[in-house]
Amino acid sequence: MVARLDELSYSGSMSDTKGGVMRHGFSRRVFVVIGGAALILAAAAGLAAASRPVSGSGTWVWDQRLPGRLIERPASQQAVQISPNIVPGSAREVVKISTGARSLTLLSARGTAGDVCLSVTSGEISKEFSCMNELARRQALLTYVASGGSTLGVTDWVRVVGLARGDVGRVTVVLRNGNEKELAFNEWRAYTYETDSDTLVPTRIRAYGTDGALIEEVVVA
Amino acid sequence: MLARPALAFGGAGEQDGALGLLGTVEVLLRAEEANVSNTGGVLMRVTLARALQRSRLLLALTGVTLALCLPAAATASHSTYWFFQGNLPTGGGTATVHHEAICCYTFMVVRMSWEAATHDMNFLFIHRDGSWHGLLAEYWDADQQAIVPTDTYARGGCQSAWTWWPVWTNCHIRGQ
Repeated sequence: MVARLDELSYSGSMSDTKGGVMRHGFSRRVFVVIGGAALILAAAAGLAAASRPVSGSGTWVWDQRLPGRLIERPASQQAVQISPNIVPGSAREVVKISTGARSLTLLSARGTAGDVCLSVTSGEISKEFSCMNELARRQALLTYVASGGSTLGVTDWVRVVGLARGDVGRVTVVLRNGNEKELAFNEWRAYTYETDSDTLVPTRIRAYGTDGALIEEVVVA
Repeated sequence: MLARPALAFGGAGEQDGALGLLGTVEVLLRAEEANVSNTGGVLMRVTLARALQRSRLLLALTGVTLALCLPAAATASHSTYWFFQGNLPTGGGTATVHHEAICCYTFMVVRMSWEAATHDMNFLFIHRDGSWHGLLAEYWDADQQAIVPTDTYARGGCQSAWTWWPVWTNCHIRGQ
């Protein structure tokens, strides 16, 4: 998800004009940055900890098998091509939302080490599979976001897919307009959300336990 | 004054390595200033102290030179691979860096890595008409790639999802 779309473009190497401007800008502001760094980092660490609490001891219900439906032709052959760490032919589709350029599909595959690997494709973008590590397993939600706009700085649409751990009772999305909406699970405990409206852009994804307590909140920047 | 250098020499061996040597040099120089070089032993030690001081100076200069040159050399070698290395957002507040697709390949691959697994980062691709398409990368895997066809996308790059907490980011683009 896109927080801010100020751009710094490179038409060639780091020595081009804009790169130089960037470095100059940094040097002029470096003292201000250093001066505020301690406070910012402390605040950031606190907020990050609040947004990603290490939560619960739940497990992934599909832990010993791959989530998703086996597909003969993965949504993206390219994702497989750039992922040498997965077993060929093991790719599955876990959940998909929308079609065409604004689609978002969550894929799973077996890693060569026997672990579960995940990837997403959105429109014609394919991401490399990432195999679940300890950090991933500690999270209650694994959330993926695709977004786009007509020009840099403008967000026209957002798509969300994700997976909820076994101890998550329900997942909600908090919208820019302040509303909170519950998202349904599929058989793999996957959830989706989509909007083409600026006011309905998600700001947070929340995981509640079966007892109703908030387990985890992911800030969607 | 003569007694103090003698005490210092004697004590140096009992002191903790470098501190002891530094203390010795300091006292020797004081002895020299006080014209105590008429004793052969002290004169020899003063010469030794000067040699030590010179060698330390050389070592220090070498260290400073290496400290200044090695990072520059490392950056220079990396810059041939990464088109961007630095904090995102930058000091100027820019959260996005992108690069034109490498000519004449069917696909464009963007590789993004960032320090630690604490930040949310986006792959960013820009169509020829200027519209953009972003995809969030898993924050728990801080070195990833994304691939797109070059007939659809003209540019690709990396973006920090957070504008208020910079993270060291490496961004690379290649054709495939």
